[in-house]
Amino acid sequence: MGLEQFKNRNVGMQNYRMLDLGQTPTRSFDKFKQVVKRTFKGELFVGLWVTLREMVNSLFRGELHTVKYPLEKLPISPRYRAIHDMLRLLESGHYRCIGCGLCEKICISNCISMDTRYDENQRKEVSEYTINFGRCIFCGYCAEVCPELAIVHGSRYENASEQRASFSLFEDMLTPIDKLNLQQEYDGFGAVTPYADDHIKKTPLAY
Amino acid sequence: MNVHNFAYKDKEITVTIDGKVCHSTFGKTILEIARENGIYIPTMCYLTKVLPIGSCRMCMVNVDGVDGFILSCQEKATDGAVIHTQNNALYKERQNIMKLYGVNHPLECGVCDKSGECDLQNKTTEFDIKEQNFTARDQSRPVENWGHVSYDPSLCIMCEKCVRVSTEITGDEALQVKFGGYSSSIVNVKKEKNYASLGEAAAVCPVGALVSTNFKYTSNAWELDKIPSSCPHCGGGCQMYYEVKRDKIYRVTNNYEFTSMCGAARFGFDYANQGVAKDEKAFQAAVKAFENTGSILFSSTISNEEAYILQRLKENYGYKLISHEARAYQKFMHAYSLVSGKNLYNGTLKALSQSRGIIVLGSKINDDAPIVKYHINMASKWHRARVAYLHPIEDTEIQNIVTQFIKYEAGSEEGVVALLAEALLQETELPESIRSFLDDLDIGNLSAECNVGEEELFALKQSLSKKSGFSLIVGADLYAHPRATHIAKIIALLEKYAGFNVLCIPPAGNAMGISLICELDDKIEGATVGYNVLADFTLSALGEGDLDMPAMNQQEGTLTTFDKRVVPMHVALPYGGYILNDIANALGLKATYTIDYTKELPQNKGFKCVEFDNLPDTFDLVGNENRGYVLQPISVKTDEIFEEVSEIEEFDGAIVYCCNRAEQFSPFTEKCDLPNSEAVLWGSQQFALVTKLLEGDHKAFTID
Repeated sequence: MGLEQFKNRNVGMQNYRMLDLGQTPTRSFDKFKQVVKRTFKGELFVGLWVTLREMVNSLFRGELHTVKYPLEKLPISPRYRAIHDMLRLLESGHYRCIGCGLCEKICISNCISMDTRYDENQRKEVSEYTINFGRCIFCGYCAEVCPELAIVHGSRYENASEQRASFSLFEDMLTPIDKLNLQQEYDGFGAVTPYADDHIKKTPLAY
Repeated sequence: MNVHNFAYKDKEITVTIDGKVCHSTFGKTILEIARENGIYIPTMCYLTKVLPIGSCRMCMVNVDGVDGFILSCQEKATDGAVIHTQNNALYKERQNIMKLYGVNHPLECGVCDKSGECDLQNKTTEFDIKEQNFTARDQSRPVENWGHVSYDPSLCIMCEKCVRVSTEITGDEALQVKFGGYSSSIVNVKKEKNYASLGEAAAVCPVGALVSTNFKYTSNAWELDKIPSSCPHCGGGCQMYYEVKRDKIYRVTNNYEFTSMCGAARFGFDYANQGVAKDEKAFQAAVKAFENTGSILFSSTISNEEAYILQRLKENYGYKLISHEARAYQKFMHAYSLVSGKNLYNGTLKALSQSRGIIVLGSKINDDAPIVKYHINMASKWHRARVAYLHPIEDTEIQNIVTQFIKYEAGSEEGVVALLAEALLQETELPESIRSFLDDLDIGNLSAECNVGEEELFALKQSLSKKSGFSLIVGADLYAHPRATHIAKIIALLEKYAGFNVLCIPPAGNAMGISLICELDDKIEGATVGYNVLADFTLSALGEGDLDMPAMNQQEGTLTTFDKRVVPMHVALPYGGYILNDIANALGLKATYTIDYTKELPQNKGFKCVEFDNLPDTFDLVGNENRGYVLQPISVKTDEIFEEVSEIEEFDGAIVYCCNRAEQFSPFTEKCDLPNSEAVLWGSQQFALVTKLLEGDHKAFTID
C-alpha cells in the first residue's frame, strides 16, 4: 500500500458506504410500531448474552480479565521506584547495610539521615536510619550508589498513610526476617519487566 | 624544627631542585628545603614535628653525581647539589612501594573512619595503582581496644609516626614497635594507664589503624565541618578544629603536622550549654542584679573580650572584679616586671623545646599544662636536655624525662627560689645591690628549712654548666604563696641576668588574658554577680545558674596563651540564649557583637588593634605558626629592691597538695564524658598516721 491515499486530503464520499436505515417514521402510529418491534425482537438478549457468558467464564471457569485490586496487585516493573526496601544477607539474615553513608551523601533532597556506632563486635553498626518520604523525590541515587545492594527501591507504591513516618524507619523497610526466603533480588536500573518478551507486539509499519 | 647541627648553622647554601634554584641554610634536609620552596615530594611516614622516621622510602630523590636513590627526609642538602624529585624510575619505585602497602590491606574503605582523609587512599590514587602483583599469606590480627584509642593492626602500615609522637612529643612512651617482618605491629606497653595523650598518636595515623574509640564508626570524615578554634582549657590555647555535624561535635582534630594538643583538648569537647532559649525574665533579673551589685566574681574560663567587657563595666559602674587565681597571677607578674623590666616573661614554647637545661618549679606540670610537658619532653628527646623538677611530691608520670628530682618542703618556695638564684647566679655579673642580697642569704639555714641539700643544688649547677639554652618553668604553687611577689622578683633575676627562657604558666584558663586586661580587686564588696562562679546572682555556662551563658565552644572571642599569643576561637555549636554582651548593652555599653571589642583590647598591655575577622589562623608550609598575633612586651619601670627571705611559719599537721587531675582543668572539663579520671586523695602511710586515718575508714572530701 502506497502512501498516496494518506496524502490525499480530499475528504469526500469515496470510502464510505451508506447504511440502509429505511425511512424515519413521521406519523405517531409508525413511531409506536417501531418501538414495539424493537422491544420484542430480543436484541436485548443478544447483548445480555455476552455479559452472561463472561460472568460464567469469570465466576466458574476462572477466566477473570480484571485484577481484584486491593486484594491482589500486579507485579510492578523493576524500573519503578517506589518506597525503599532494606535487604538482608541471605546466609546470615543480618542486614546488608554497612553504614558507609554514601546514600546519605548522594541524596539530593537530603532526606536520608543515619547514625552509626562502634558495636560490641567491633563492627560498624547502623544505630539510626530514616528516610523522610515527605522530601524524597524517588530519584533512585541511593540505590544506585549503594555498594552492598542494601538499599533498593521496592514495589510498595501505595504511599498514602496517616503519617509518612509510618514507613520511613529502618525496621519498616527491612525485609522481615521470616520472609527472608521471599526476598527479591533487585535487578537494578535498566532491568526489563518480567516476561517482557511475551508482551512485545509488533509495531505496524504504517497506520 | 629538625635542625640539630648548630656548628654550621646559618651557613648559606644553594641547591637546585627540579630546576628551581633554592636558597637555604646548611643543616636542613632536602625535603625541608623542597617544602620551603613549595616543591612536592610524596611521603608516607614523614611528620614535620618529629625527627625523620625513614620507614616509607617514598621521599627518595635523585641527586646528580650520586648513584641510587637518596632519602630526602634524612639527607641534609649540601651546597650546589642538583636534585631531581620526579622521573620515571622514581615513579616506578614509588608505585611499587604503594603496591606493597596495599598487600592484604582490608578493602573496607566503606566503613573505615579514615576514608576521605586517608594518606594510603590518596597516594594509591595518586600513583595510579590499578592492580596488585604482590601477595602474602594473610594473618589473623584482631582489633585491640586501648581505652581512648583502639588499634586495628590489619590496617596498620607500620609508618611508626604514632610511636615517635608518643616518645618524642607526648612523652608517655606507651607505644612501641614490635618487630617481626610482615607480622610487625605497634604494641601498647602501658595499656593499663589509658593515656589520653595517645589521642595525639592517633591523630597522626595516616590510615585508620589508630583511631579514637569514641569517634570510631560514628561518622565519615567528609561529613564533618571543620571549625578552627583554640582550646580554652589550660591556657595553652592550642590550635584545634571542632568537627561538627548536625549541631553536634563529633571529635576534635588539630593541624597534627605541626602542633600537638593534650588529651583534655582532644577529648574534652562536650561541655556546651545546649538547648538554651532567650529567657526574657531571667535576663531582666540579670540586668537588675548588675545594677545593684558591688562585685563581679568570675572564673578564668572567659575570653579576652568578655574580660574586657567586665573591665569596661567596672570603669563605668565601679564594680569590684574578683578572680582569685588571675589576681594572684597578676600580682606575681607585676612584681616580676619590676625586675625584668617587661610586663611579660620572655619564654616561648619553641625556645623551651630547644633548651638544653630545664628547671620546673612549683607546678605539677604534667597535669597543670600538658603541652608544656610535651615541649620539655621534646627538649629532653632531641637535645638530651637536663630536666630538674623541683616539687614537694615526685611525679611518676614524668620520671622518664626528669634527670634530677629535688624535693622541697611545701611552703618553702621562697627559700628554694632564693637558693636557686644564689646557685645559678654565682658567676654572673650582677649589680651591687643584687649581689649583696644574694651574698647575704643564709644558705645553710635556707637549705635546712627547705630541705634542699646544698649538694643537690651543686649537682644541678654542675649539670647545667656545660650547656647553653636554659628554661625555667614556674607554676601555680608560687602564685598562691604568701610571698609570691618576692618570689617573682627573684625569678625575674634569672631571666634578666642568667638568660633563662622563663615561662610563668598561668594558673588556669585565660588567667593571663584576664590579668592583662582587668584591674582586679582583692576584696568582695556588696552584693555579688558571678560569671561561672556561684554568687548571689549567677551567670553560668554550666547550666546551673540564674541566667544561661554560652560555653567557650559556643562563642567567638580570643584567648591569651602562655606562648604569649592572642588566638581566635570560633563558634562550633549554636547558642540561643543571652550573652554577656547583651547584658553590657543593656547597661549602656554599645557593641553589636562581643568580637567588636577585639580591636579595643588594651594596647598599653601588649595587645594589638586588629579586627577579630582579620586574625590569621594558619601555619605556613614548614610549620611556622601564624595564629592570631604575639603580644608585644611593654617596658615597665624597674624597682630592684629585695627584702630578706622570710622564715617559714611553723606548721604542724598534714599538708594536702591540691592539683588538677589528669586531663581536668575546670568545671567544664569535669562535665565532659571522655576525660574521666577519678578524683582521688593520695597519701602515704605517714600521712595516714598524721591525719589519724585507719584502714577501712570512710571519709568524704570536697574540692571547691
